Formats: sequence, C-alpha cells, structure tokens
Amino acid sequence: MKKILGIALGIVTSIGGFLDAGSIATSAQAGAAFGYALLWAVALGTICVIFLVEMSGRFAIASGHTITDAIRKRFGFAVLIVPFGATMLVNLLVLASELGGVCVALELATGIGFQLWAIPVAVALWLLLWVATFDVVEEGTALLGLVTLCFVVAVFTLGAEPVPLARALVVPSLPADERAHYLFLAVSIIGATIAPYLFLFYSSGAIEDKWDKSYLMPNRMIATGGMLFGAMISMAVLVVAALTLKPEGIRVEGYEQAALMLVPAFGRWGFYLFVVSLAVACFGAALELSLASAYAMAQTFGWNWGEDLKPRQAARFGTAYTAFIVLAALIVLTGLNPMKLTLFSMAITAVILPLTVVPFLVLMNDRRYMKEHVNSRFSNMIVALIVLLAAVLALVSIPLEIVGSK
Amino acid sequence: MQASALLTGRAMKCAVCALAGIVLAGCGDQSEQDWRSASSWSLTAVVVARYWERGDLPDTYARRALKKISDELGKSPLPEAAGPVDELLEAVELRDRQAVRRLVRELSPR
Repeated sequence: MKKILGIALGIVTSIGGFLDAGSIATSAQAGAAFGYALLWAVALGTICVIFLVEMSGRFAIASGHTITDAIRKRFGFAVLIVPFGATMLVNLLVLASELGGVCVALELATGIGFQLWAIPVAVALWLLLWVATFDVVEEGTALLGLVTLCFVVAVFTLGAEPVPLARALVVPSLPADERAHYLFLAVSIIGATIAPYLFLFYSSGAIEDKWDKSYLMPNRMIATGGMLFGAMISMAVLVVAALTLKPEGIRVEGYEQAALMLVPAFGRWGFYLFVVSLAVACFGAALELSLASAYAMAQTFGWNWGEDLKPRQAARFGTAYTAFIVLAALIVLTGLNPMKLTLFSMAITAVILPLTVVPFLVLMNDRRYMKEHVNSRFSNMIVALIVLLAAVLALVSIPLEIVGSK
Repeated sequence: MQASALLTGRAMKCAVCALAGIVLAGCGDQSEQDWRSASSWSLTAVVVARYWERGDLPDTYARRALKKISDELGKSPLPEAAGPVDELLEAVELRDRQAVRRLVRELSPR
C-alpha cells in the first residue's frame, strides 16, 4: 500500500513538476506560429525523456551511484569535466530563464518591472533551499504545480478537434514558409523536454530517497506515467496557443502575449491562471535546477552533498547553489528578454545533450555497474537516435535563427 | 476630455492603413521577421484592448502591455503603427471603454 501511494505521489509530482519556463515558452511560441504542426517534437522529446528518466532511476538503484559520480569514477575527472562544464553553463542559463519567468509573472500581476523582482525571488528561492528538506522541495512545489493542469482543461473547454491534433502528433510536417524558425522551435521544444537537469536531479533524488531494488517497477511506472502525463500539459500549452493566439495573428515574442492564451477559455480567471502557472512552474523548476547543479558540482568534486543534510554538514554543497542563484539573478538583472533567453537556452540544451547522454549510455551498458539491469539494445538505439537528431538539428538551426533575427 | 475625441478621421485612416500594411506585408527577405513581428504586436494591441474592454484583463496588465507594444512598434520598420496603440493606451488609462470599443472596431483586420 505504501509503495502504491509512493508511485501515485511520484507520478503526481512528475506531472506537477514537468512544466517550466522552457516548456511554456517553446510550446506557446510553436502553437502561435505553426498551429499543431510541432506537436511531434513534444512527442519525440517525451519518448526520449521517458527512457532517460527510467534509466537514471534504474542506474541509481542498480549501482548505488548518481550519474555524475559514476561518470567521474568510470571515465576519470578529465573526461567528466567536458560534459560537466557544458551542463553547468546551460544549467545557469536555464536557471536564469526560470528566475526570469517568475519575475515576469510577478510583473504581469503587479505592473512592477521584472528586473526589480530578481533579488526578492532569488532570496526566496535560496531561503527555501536553505531551510527545506528534499521532500518539501520536490513534492511541495510539484503539488502546487498541478495548477498547470488548467491548460489541459482549456483544451477541452475550447473544443480542440482530435483528428488534426492526433495527425500532427505522429506525422511531422515541414511548413512551406519559415523553415529555419520551425526547425529552431523544434529543437528548442526537444531541448526543453529532455533537459539534462531533469534526469540528473531524478538520479540524485533516488539516492537521497534510498531507493533499493524493490523500486525497479515503481521507478518504471513513475518515469512512464509522470513524464507521459506531464508532457500532456506541454502539448496542451501548444494546442491552446494554436487555438487562441494563432487565429488572432499573435506570434509569441514575450510573456505579455502568452498571457492572453487562457482568456478565451476562462475569461478574467484565465489571465490569473496563466500568471500563477508561470510563477509556480518556473519557481519549482528553479528549485530543482539549483539543487541539480549543486548535486552535479558536489558529485564532480567529491564533496559532501544532500538537501536533507544541515547546511553546516554540506557547506560546499550549500555554497554551490547559493553561487548559482546569485549568478542567475545577475543575468536577470541585465534585463535580457526572458523569453528569448529561454528559447536560446533550450536550443543550446539540445546541442550539449550528447555530451551528457553518451557517457550515460556507456554506463547503462556496463555490467560492473548495472549487473543484470543493463540497457536493452532498443533503449540504446531510441535514446541515441533522438539525442543525435536533436543535436544535429540544433547545430543547423541556431545559426539560421540568429541570422534570421538580425 | 474623452480619448475618442483625440482621433480625427484622417489620423484614423492613416492608422488603419498602417496596420493593414503591416498585416498584409508578406515576404520581404531581410526584414521579413521585423514585419511579421510588428504585425503580431499590432494585433496583440487590438486583442489586449478587446479583452480589457470586456473586463477580462486587469487595468495594470492592459496598461503595461500596451506601453510595451507601443515601444516595440516604435522600433519596428513602421513606427507610425505605434500611434493607434498610444490612442488605445490613453483610452485605457482614462478607463474609457466606449472609446476602446470604437478603436478596436476600427483597428480590427477585416
């Protein structure tokens, strides 16, 4: 019974914690610009993230190691430093995007400029990490994140037609116009869906929660159910934007425009639901990202780590997330457009995916770590193909997008 | 003074033409994205005003969004398009729903 409740809670927290600034920005922009046409990108990213999250949980259970820790032990520090450096840089940009998302939500609600919120939001984030336990951080914010289910409700309220929706989900199409922007959005969506911090955080969480072999099946169910239902919210954002913003000719270049998408479904409440969803989703993701980055740093350098430890027991771990939050707040203070920052961070995430995923796949096939729980050939192939495809598309589309936007 | 009184028929025609120009601007190559973006911001202004007039958006958001749209259009290839948005902003600041309704009707693409 306890385990069933654990699975249910795991799935619910995965759903609530799925949406972040990246998913909201990329899905809203894709729906407003191309209608349902980019739903396949969310589907592709979701398939890959289900495999990766399941693998990271299985790896923690079978080996007793987190991914970063094992990469360091298996390949040595010199090899780890490349994916580590790239992941830290991207994590910092994504953390700034998430902080920016919270600040913009507060700007939408109060009219006070988003930069002025950077310091108060950063302090709130840091305080929560300083005093809260891992369960509070993981479950508390994810349960609040269930407010994002309003996007799914809106899909039904607005009466989306299922046939074109299902077609766009399984059949990728290339538009006659704006192909570079379309590809850029496709890789941004994939980058937002397969964010490395997500599975690095999940594997560290499995160690923090002391998962043993009895968690192999719950892990599979949480990874599949949580990611699948979570991705539904991401798809719902895209569909709602396609139904409400595209017919008005609105292309989402700022959160001010995205904030209009729920109004046709819920009236004035729609505006407030969007603001709360953006704030909660981004704040939850910012908590996870700060922790995931501190985990990665502590595991890379062999420091004491754990959110459940008192700050004095893991001083360098606490310093790491403090430094990350300060740097991210400084980026927000520069006044960069938070939505543009988010889209580029997501596309860069897609570029660096192979750096993290390839060593992880090698570990997943190493019997010294995995014993009888090594990957199947099918899992290896699916993940390797999607990650390489996303990276190649990103390398092609990012320069085109930069040239096009100048 | 009512905001609607500020609008002369001639200015209105120019504004509608400017907006229509933006909306219909199809394919340039270098500045294509700028045109699309300007068109999108103009249409956003109309939608913000329409929702505000119906009472679906708070005043604070509507004012701030229209100000931002005016700034964005001021930097666009057709800065004249910021004019009608400023009119909308003024009407929202005066809470003149009637003027906003009329402006929205006149600015909406047919």
